[in-house]
Amino acid sequence: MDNLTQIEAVIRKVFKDDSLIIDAQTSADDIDGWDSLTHLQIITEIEKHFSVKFTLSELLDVNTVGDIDRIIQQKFA
Amino acid sequence: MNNLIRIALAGSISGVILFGVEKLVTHYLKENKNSKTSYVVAANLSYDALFLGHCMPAFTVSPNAFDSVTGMNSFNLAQLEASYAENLIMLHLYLMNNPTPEYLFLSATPESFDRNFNDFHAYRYAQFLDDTLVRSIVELEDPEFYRWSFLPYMKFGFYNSEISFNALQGWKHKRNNRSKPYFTDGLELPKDELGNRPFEKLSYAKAYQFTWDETLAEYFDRIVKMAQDHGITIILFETPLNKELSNPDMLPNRKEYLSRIDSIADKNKLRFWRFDESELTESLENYYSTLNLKYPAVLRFSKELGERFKEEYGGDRTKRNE
Amino acid sequence: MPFGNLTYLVGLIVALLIYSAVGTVFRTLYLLLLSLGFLGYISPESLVILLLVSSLSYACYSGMRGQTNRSLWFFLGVAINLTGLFFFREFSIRESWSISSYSVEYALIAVGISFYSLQNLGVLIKEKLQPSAMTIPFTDFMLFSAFFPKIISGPLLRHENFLPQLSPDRNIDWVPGIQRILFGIVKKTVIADRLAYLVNHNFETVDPTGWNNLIVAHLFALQLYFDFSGYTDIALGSARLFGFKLTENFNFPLRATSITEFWRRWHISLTSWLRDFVYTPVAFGLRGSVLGILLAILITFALSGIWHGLALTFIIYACTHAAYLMGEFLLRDFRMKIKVVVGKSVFNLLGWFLTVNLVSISFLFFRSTSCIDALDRIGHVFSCSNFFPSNWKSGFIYKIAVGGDQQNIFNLSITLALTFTVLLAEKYVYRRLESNKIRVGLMVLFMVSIGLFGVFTDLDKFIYGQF
Repeated sequence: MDNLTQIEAVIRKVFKDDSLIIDAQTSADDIDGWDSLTHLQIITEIEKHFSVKFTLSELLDVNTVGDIDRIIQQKFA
Repeated sequence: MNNLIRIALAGSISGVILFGVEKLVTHYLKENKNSKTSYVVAANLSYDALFLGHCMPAFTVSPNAFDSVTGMNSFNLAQLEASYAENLIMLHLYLMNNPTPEYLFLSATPESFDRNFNDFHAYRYAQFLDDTLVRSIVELEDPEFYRWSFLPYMKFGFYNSEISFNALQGWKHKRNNRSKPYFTDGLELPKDELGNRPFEKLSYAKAYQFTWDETLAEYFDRIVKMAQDHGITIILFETPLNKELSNPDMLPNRKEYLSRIDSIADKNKLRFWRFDESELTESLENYYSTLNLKYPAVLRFSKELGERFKEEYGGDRTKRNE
Repeated sequence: MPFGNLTYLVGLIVALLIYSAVGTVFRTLYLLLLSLGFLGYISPESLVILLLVSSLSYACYSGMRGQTNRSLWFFLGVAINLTGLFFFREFSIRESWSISSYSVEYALIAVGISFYSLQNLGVLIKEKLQPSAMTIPFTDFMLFSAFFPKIISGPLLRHENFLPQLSPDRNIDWVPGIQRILFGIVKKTVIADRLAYLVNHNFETVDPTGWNNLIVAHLFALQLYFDFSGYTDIALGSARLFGFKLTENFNFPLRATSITEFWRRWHISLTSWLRDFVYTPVAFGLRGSVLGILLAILITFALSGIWHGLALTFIIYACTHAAYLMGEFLLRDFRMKIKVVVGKSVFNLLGWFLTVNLVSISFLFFRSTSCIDALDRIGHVFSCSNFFPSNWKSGFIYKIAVGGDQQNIFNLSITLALTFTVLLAEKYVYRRLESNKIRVGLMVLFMVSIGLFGVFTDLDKFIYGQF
């Protein structure tokens, strides 16, 4: 399972909605209810899932799901 | 360039529309019978006596009651919060458009020489800005309004919440051929919009010091001169104030101001009638505020004024019966 | 400031003509001098304070660009801006709510400091977290601080959006600019100031019925929206004339269907600043528990309240919204269930109804001169007895209309008709204005409505009302 699919699973879990389709271009604007409050929840869940820690500066760079993917890849690189 | 033409086009169309509305509004304001200004200009009135001043006489003098004693035919030209500048315009418009009356009752009180108690309402005269005298007074009294009044419609738009309704009402009056104003003799009963108004004692801050305004005194002189030039007999008067206002603790310099008015009256050889001794001043029952009488007391006072007139000018003046 | 806008417009056109004649290389310098001149004209003291606070901030920024003592320079810069903000803004005397304005109130002491100090902080924080490869030149930094269209009441700029626009080859974009300015003037003179007359009179005393207090709260919400967004249109339109697209501050906030959405649409430049530089770091630091997020919300809103002014009313106003947001956050699952049951459109309608009422009620704190008044009003809104006036004419309409004359009712009707027309047509109008062709029809409509219905003076100027 690639990172993006795993991220999709995490986001589906946070929103309790299994029909969400996520790709690298998906951003907060595309998903109803993705606001700065849920944003932090998603990041926390992703940190747990991948066992990584984001820095504040990385967090500020996150605009799309693709950004999350990139940061995780950097951490595993 | 194309856009510059478009913006010029938009500007011109707006200008033409506003100019057209201005013409319409001018026309219909003059048809509004409830506007005292328009009323005195439009109708050919032949009153024997006029009452002039700010809200104290506007609220307190009933020409009908006065006429019932004197047998005259009189009208109350006073307007709410109107300063002597406005009074001068009113008298000017009246004399320009109607036969000259015999008597002018001009309200003179410490309040009328103090800007805190009266103001200038340019919108009342906006439809008469073509008149040189009106124009010059408006320029002095409301320069901000005057500065913009050259723009299309701005002489009405500037105070549009005081104008739009009156213009529509004028249109209605015109359509219904109305000839008499709502206030038939010019007495403006105080507005009582929020139910019955209880007596309000706090009309003055305690120990209020009047401030004499020289420009108001000049307008006063001009009114006197204008009337005298027309051969009108002027009588200065003050409506009866509640007893408590004579208390020097409330109005420390009231006496001084009254004596200033006395000396102005002497200088111009005018009579100055006051009603401090009137029975009406004794009871608060007669007042809805320290300055203003309730309607039944208004009728009593107006008759008292008539009696005084008969006493001093003599005779039964029933020469005109209308 | 009756008709101040006309003077401003004429000045703007002259400035624009000179601007187009100035060589592209000198344009930034020209705009900087123009902005400093504008501020100096409004208030010379404010100019001195801006020059002081922003040059010192720039010095700290330069210090941070050097490799040593980055943190020291950073904290010094933060201290300078916070001191400026508190000293020249929060502790200065506040005017009462006598006139309509949201902006004049801020314009009294050290004009613009509440905006440029936050902007400076933004630069410093960004530099601290993510040092950029490019150093900001001094003139650019100062223009970013002092740019005249936004100096009085924002929008709060972000250097990552603003500075790239300083490239010498930008176009003069005067058509959308001038159209937007005119629309802003319509909003301010035809809607906000007409509403201000009603609002100011109705806020003099607390009405004994819940209904009236609720309606007055709504009128104030409308007034505040049109006042502030009208101002913003003038600011953004002015910047547009010179080729700048500044951050939008409003995105039809009164159409929001939840409080969360409201804050994405209302005073966006401030909210997003607080989100990025207060909420996110705090919530990030406290992440892992729901409590952390709630605490971050509370801290963010408390700060926004303090930013509005060191008054209990503003702080309670902000905390009310923090409570609203926490409630929405905690009830998210419940709300989703309701949404499934009633369907999306009914859910949105209910959400909108709840949102506009909750927002308006919170504004009672914002507008009231004391917490006691505000609590009194809110108490009436939520009391079951006496909610509706016993006589609709004299107990409601005559009061809202500030009098029972035909003229008062007429003026009230005109004001409400204009307000709702603009409210409904707003989205369409913005779309049309965003074009490179002057919209003759709209321009005529704007100019004629300003002429016919605009408010140019403070109508409520008599000290002696009953006279």
